[in-house]
Amino acid sequence: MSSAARLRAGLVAVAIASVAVLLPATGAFAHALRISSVPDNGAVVKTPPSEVTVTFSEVPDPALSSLRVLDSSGMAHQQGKAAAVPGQPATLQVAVGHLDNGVYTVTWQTLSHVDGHIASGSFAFGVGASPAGAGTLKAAVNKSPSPSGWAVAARWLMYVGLMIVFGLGIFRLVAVERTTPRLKALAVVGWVLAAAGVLAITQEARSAAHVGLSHLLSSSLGHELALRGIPTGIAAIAVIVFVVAGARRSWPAVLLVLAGGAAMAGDVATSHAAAARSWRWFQEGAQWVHFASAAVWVGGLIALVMTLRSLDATERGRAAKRFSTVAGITLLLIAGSGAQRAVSEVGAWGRLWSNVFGRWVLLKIGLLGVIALLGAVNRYRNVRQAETAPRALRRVGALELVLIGVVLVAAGFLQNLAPATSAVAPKAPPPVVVNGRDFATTVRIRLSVAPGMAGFNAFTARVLDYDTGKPVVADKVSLHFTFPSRPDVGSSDLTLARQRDGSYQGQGANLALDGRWTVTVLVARGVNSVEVPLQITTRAPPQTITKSVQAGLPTIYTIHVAAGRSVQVYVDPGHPGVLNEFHHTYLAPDGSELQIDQASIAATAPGQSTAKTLTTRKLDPMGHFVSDLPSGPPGRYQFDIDASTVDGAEITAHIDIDVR
Amino acid sequence: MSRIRVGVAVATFMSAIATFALAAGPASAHEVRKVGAYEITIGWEHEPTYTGIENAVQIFIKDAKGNPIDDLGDPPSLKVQVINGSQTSDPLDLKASFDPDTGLGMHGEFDAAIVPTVPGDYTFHLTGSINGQNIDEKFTSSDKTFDPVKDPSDIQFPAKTPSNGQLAQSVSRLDTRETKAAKDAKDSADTAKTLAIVGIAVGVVLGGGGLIVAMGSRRRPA
Repeated sequence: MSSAARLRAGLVAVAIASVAVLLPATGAFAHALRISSVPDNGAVVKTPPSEVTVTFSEVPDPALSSLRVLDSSGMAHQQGKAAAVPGQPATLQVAVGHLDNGVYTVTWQTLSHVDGHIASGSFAFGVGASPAGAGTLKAAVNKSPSPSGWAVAARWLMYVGLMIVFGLGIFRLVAVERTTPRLKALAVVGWVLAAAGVLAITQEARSAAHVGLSHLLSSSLGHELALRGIPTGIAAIAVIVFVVAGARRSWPAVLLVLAGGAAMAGDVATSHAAAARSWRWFQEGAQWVHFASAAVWVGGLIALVMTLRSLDATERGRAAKRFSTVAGITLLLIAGSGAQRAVSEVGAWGRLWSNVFGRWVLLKIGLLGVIALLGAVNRYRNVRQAETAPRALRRVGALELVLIGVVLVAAGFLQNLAPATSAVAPKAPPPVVVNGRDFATTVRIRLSVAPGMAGFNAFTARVLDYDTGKPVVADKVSLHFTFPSRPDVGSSDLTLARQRDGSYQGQGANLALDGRWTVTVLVARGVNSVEVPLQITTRAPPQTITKSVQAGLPTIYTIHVAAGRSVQVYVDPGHPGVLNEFHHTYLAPDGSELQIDQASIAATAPGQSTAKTLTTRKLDPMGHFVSDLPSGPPGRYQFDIDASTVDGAEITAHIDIDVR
Repeated sequence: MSRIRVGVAVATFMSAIATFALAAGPASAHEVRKVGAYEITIGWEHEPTYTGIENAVQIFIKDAKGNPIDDLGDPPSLKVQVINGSQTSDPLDLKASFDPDTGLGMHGEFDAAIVPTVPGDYTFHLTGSINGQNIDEKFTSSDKTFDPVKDPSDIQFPAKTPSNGQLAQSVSRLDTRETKAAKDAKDSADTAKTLAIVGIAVGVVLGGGGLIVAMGSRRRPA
């Protein structure tokens, strides 16, 4: 290869690597960790829920996952096994018996349907009692067990084996013109290591998940075994052909490359990359490129080091030069695809240090840097002397291989750990923020309430001078809560503590019910004391929607809202261009109709940006209403539901329904 | 007979009212504390307590047997100071509620009138003596004692009007802003004045220079 050609090849590789890094990085999860739940962590519900629903960061295997609802004495209250919510495979729910007032802890364990990794955690909610008051409220726990030594060793075996099979094939096609007996023996060794690794990975996962052999194939672990094992089994045929074919034939090496590449793709399909929420094909592609590039380098280097002695001087010099060029290109591909994977799985610079996953990535990057230096020594010094003095090339190559062995241990750890992006606490919804000022315009208040739902909340008040915008130092900042629509709900107070950044913070379950609260902020500072009245409307908790389809009947949607209540809706007849009726019925946790005081529906037609309030009629004395949806075009209609029960509780929900 | 019945009924009714009035303790939240041989109950006379509305520090004093104390000595030395933040009022006289001449008022009650002007927590500092018993006690508003003071907007209807304290704060703020605006306007005017003088000076210099050049060119022989 001429220097101009080498330069072009290098630029192409750099361009590919750059594109790989610049394309959007979507967080990898690959460990089914809790994102949200109903009831939420720390929630205080007035009405006991009839079920507990937890949404995970990726699809869990319901058969090998569990949800348990325990009271403060440790007694279990779940009924039956957890099951996936229809149409929402990442959400598990379990029915619970009647829950008395008290604090309940939900413990969960999941086995990822994607990669078979196990995760577990817990969170707490209260029925008529605050988990905070009981001293049990903590941040919801998400954890995945540390990988065992066996799990890492199993991965290491599979990586080394597949890299030998794939890299050896490339080496045979690019660097040498005959298949030496050593190359054949190496192919056999590579396949044996790969097969042993695949079996060991399955056994380790089976053991960790307590899955019997009889249930293995029907579980998600069996699915993973098939993805890895079938191509690895087919690779055995390629290896046999490679061994028995003539030394001068190169097509058996093509078979080896294809079989090894397919086996690597099978592993990638069960890796963190496969858990990407979007651009999955790209994430898996980048992971495969990373794996295959490393295989070309590692497998080729092993082949080179092992066969140097069996080649004559001319073959040796040519093989070393050709492999060196290929290794240079693969190094760029490894760096580019590795950077993309690191961005996807680590997500932020700080997590490189703060997170175990990030530290393993750092170790891997550091070792790769050292290996690249050793490669450069070979490339610019020892390759030239390969014909006459191959010893130095072999020595440095062997040292590279030792370090690569360590890098593959790191890779084994990384594949068994939850990526740093998923180890981060589930993304919290934005807090509810309200602003206000006192009558005399002396101060401005910015009060943020997180998560802003009924129950336990964190309150942060920023008190600023109205004119200068500088933080105000007060003797005391306190909040006084009243619930105007329910005078029987007593008022309460919360004193906030001053923080280093000048804000005032406190936590409490003062927003005990869903609805609109009046919060009066007292800023006490002697003669300049003021009160600032604010209005806070609690945020509706995340809703889940189940769908019931029956031939000849409108599709019925059940929207599960706060406190175990639900709203059943359907559009009749559900065709565009005619007057449709939007039926909405409000149900208590036990399925009986709630007595609703008033209900209103705002609908947004397809292509419209503003919602229109629909004419609504009550169809029975309890909670069945119908709203007229005027004739409109086909498409997705958005419905905002706002109702209040006779006892003053607010019910809000949202649903998009296709009318076609 | 009927007159007697009416008289008995009226007497019974009046007795009932008198008994109820005498037996009734403080209606709103107060703090009760044993101080030596006395039990002191203290709080606001009217609760909830609003800024700008006349109120009073209300104290009930009983001896160890539960009998109300009406006589604090002559002259009485027991005083109360009201504290809010770093501000402390002058010692306020405690006036007995019970008038022995008319028999009206509550036995054992003493009041010190005050109009709280800012919202927040207040502390009552009781000093002096009751029949030789020295008193030096502080009582602070809280959810377990007596109410803090609030702005009255909650109970104003139909229009919400600011309290005197709020108006005073507002006027103070407006005054500060007006002073600052006047200063800014004066600074701007001074700057404009300076620029005008500089402009005129530059104009004069340039005009004079131009005139000299023009005159010089006329005198130059062709």
